[in-house]
Amino acid sequence: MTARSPEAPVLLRAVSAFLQSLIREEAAGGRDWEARIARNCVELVCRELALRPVHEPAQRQRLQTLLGSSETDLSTLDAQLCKALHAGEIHWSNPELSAHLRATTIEQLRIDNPRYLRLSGVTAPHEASGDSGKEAS
Amino acid sequence: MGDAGQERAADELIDKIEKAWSRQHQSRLQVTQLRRLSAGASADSFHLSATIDGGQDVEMVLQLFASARQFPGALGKVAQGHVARLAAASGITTPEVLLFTGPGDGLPEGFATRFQRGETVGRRIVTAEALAPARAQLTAQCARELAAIHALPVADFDMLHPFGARAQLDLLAGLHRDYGQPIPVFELAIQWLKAHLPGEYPEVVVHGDFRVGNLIVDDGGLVAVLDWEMAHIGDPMEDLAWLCIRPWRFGRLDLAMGGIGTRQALYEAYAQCGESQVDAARLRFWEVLGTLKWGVICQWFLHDTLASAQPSLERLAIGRRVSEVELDLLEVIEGHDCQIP
Repeated sequence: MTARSPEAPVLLRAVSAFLQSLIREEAAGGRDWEARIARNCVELVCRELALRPVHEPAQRQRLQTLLGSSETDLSTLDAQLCKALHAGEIHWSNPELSAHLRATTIEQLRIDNPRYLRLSGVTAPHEASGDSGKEAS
Repeated sequence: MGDAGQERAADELIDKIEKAWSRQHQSRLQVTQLRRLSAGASADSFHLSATIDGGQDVEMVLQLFASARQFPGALGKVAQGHVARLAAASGITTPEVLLFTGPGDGLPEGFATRFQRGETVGRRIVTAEALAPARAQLTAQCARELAAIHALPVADFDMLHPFGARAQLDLLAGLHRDYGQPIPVFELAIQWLKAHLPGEYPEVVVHGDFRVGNLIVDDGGLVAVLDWEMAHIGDPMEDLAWLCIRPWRFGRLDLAMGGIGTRQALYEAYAQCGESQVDAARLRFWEVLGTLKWGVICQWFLHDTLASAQPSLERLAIGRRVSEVELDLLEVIEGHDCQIP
């Protein structure tokens, strides 16, 4: 199926801009807070559409290596990792585990809340050059 | 409900409140104004202006239990009111309880406290320029208040149950696993906590939710401690740790104590009150547990709203805050958080 114009990100950005205008207009009104949450959610979905396809292959590969598994479904791999932690097959202090979880958490925060990453002063090793300016909070 | 319907409901509520007052006091209450403050997850709250026997003015905050679903371990409204009343009578800086409500009054379980003026919104307490003098006082004031709470006679608080480290960890691990969305960082935290369970500790009255956001603050600093819903008998270090976890720093991640002060300043002021020894290992345990607890509460908010006919956008958004908590857990467990003990 070819993507019809306007594509999803274009539509979402327009919705986000509309919600932004509500925030300004109703700054003194009662629904400002909800409009702000709605705007943030739409921005989050935009980031997810752009970044998930970038993050997922790397996450899958790290999990497969860590678990010695050929499973491809990410939720199943996460569940397997939890089980291995619970059973003590992978120790909580394992450095490869720690590196994977840190990288995955940073990738997820680039979608969920890039502002929190900046506030925390945390960057992934491969992002050390810094591209924080690209993401509007 | 139309405006007329809302007005009628407000009149009925006022009538019931006035009758409840008469049953509990040798005086007559006349409510002159009723304003809804919020419809929270577990309580509806109202601001009331009233006169007593046609003379003395009184302002109150009424909280009515609004939902059968509360985070496990939370006290019911009546028990919460009794704890607050006893704490206030013992000299703790918490608003005086003036009225209890219940089915006998045709009302949900609830209680009303004396209204106290001041700022409660965490972000404003941490950032407002006008509150800079308050912030200079607040760390020491919180330490003194916590020491006073931890010195309360446990035997008087028979409505509170022991809720120790092991029981809290089991509850959180069980809740998390029941959601069926296993989060590896949460599982790592559970295993870390199992390996670091504290040994013996003194059993004291623990407030359970003492943090910026549950305090009333004015120019002079601490006005009152609110919200005794999570009170229990436990380790005094739990309260000191909860006050310092990363989710309550409102953008000032460099200042562990609620975005206002350092851990060191809090611990020193607390130790000066001489109630309990500060124990770095137990503090660390409780900071990790507290952070995990906030993460599980985020999941709980999400699953609660997903189960309702019309999920709330705010609650759905809270579901995505779990990744902040994951970073918080890694930072504390790996020792990267600011001035970690």
